[in-house]
Amino acid sequence: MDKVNGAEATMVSVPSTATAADNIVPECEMDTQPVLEVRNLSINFGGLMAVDDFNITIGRKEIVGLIGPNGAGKTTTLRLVAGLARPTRGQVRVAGLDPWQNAREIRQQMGVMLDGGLLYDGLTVLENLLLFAGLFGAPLRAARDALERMGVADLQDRLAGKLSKGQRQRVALARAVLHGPRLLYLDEPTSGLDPAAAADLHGLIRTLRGQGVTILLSSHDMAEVETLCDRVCFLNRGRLVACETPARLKETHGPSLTDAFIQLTRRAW
Amino acid sequence: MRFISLVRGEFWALKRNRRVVTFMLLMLGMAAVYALDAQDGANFLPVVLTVSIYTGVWQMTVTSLVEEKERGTLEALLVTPARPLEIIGAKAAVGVLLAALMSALIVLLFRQPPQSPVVLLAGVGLAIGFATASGALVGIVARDMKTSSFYRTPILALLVSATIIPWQDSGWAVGEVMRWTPTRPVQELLWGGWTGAPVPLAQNCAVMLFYIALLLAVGARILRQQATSR
Repeated sequence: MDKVNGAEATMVSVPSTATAADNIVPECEMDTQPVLEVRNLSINFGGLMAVDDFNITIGRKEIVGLIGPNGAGKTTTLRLVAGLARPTRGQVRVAGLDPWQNAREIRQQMGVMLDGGLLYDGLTVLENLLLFAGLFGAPLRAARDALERMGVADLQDRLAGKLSKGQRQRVALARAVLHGPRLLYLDEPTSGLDPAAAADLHGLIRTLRGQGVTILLSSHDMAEVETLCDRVCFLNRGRLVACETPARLKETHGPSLTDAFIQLTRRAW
Repeated sequence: MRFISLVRGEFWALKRNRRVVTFMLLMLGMAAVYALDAQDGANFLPVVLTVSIYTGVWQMTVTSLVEEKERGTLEALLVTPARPLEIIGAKAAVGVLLAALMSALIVLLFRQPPQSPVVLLAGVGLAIGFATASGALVGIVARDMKTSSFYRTPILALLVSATIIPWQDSGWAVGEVMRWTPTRPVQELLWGGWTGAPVPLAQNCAVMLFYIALLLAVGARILRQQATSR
C-alpha cells in the first residue's frame, strides 16, 4: 500500500505464478478511500476460467469501465462483485464488508442495472419502481423522485413492456438508484441506444457521480468509456490486461483506445 | 415490508393477467355444472376442489417463477435485500389467496353445507399449501417454460390423480406406495370434511405441514444456490 494524497492507494500485484504473457497485468491505483476492493477474484465454469485473478480497488466518486471483447468476462465480473455469482477464489469487499457475510447491508448500499434493463413488462413504470422502493425500504416518494431525476416522470403510467429501449434503460437506471446507493454496477448501460439517448444517459451517470456515487460499468463502446470513465480496465479471456486512465492508456498503448484495445487483446493472446 | 411489496407487485401483475381470470371462470363453470346435479353432483365437490386448487395454484406458482427466470427479473430481485424465501412466499401468497377465494365460491355453488367444515377447511388449506410449495420447487428447478413443459404436465396429472383417486384402498401394490405420499392426507381431509367420515385431523395436518415446510426449505436453498452459481 502506498500513500497518495494522504489516502491509501492500493497497488494490484501480479500473482507470483503469472506467466510472461501475464506481466502486462496492470497496477490499479486510486486516490480516494476504497469503496470496492476486489482481490484475486476468479471463477471457473467447468474448467473454463471466466474470470481469472481479477484485482481492482475503486474509490469514492470514481467511474471505472470494464471493456473487452465478447466473452472476456465483463458481465461475469460484474455479477461476481454484485453477489450474483459466487467466486471460485478471491474476495470482494464493499466499504470494507464481505458481500457474502453481510449480503443485506451490502445490497442496501449498491444499485445494479443488468444488461437489458430487466423490468417487469406487465407492470407500469411507476409500479416497477414502487416495488423496488419497498424492497429497499425506501420511501414511496423516492420512486417518483428517481423517475424525475432520470427525466422519465411522464412515463410513469405506461406499461414497461411498451417502452422503447432508451426509455427502458432510463427507467432501469432510475430503479437502480432510487434507494440512494453508494456503489452502482451498470452492465452495458447504453447498449442498443442511439447516440443522443446514449449521451443523455452519460449525462445522468455523470450527475450520479457528482452526487457521490461510485460506478463500475461494462461497455463495448470505446468512446463511451473514454468520455465517461476515470479509469478503463481491459479484460481479455477473463484476465485484467490493463487498468489505467484513458489518457495513460493512449500514451502507452496507442494513439486511441481502439488501438490500445487491439494491441492489448492481441498481446494477451 | 419487503414481503408486502413483493405481494403487492404480484397483484399488480395479476390484475392484467387474463389467463388467470379465464382459468378461474372455467373452474367455476365446471363447478356449476356439477353443482346443478344436486343428487350425485355433490359427491364431486372434493374432486372439483382438488382439480381447481392443483391446476390453478400449482400452475400459477410454476409459471410465475419460470417466467421470472426467463425474463431475468429474478436476478433483479436477488440483488435487493429480499430473501429467496420472501420471493417464493410472495408468489405463493397470491396463489393461496386466489385458491381460497375460488374454493369458497365452489363450496357456495354446491349449496350444501359440508359435514365437517373444519376438516374441509384444513383440507383446502393444506392442499393449497402443498400445491404452492411443490409448484415453487418445480418452478425453481425448471430451466425454462419450453423444456419444463415435458415434465410439468405429467407431474400435475400425477398430483391430481393421486389426490382424487383412492389408490390406497385398491389393494394393489401401487396402493401401498400411495399410502405414503403427501396426497393421501389431503384426500382424506377433503372427503372427510365433505362427507363427515372420520379422519385423523391432527396427524394428517402434521404430515402435510412437514411436507410443505420441507418443500419450501429445499426450494429456497436451491434458489439461493442457483443465484450464486450461474
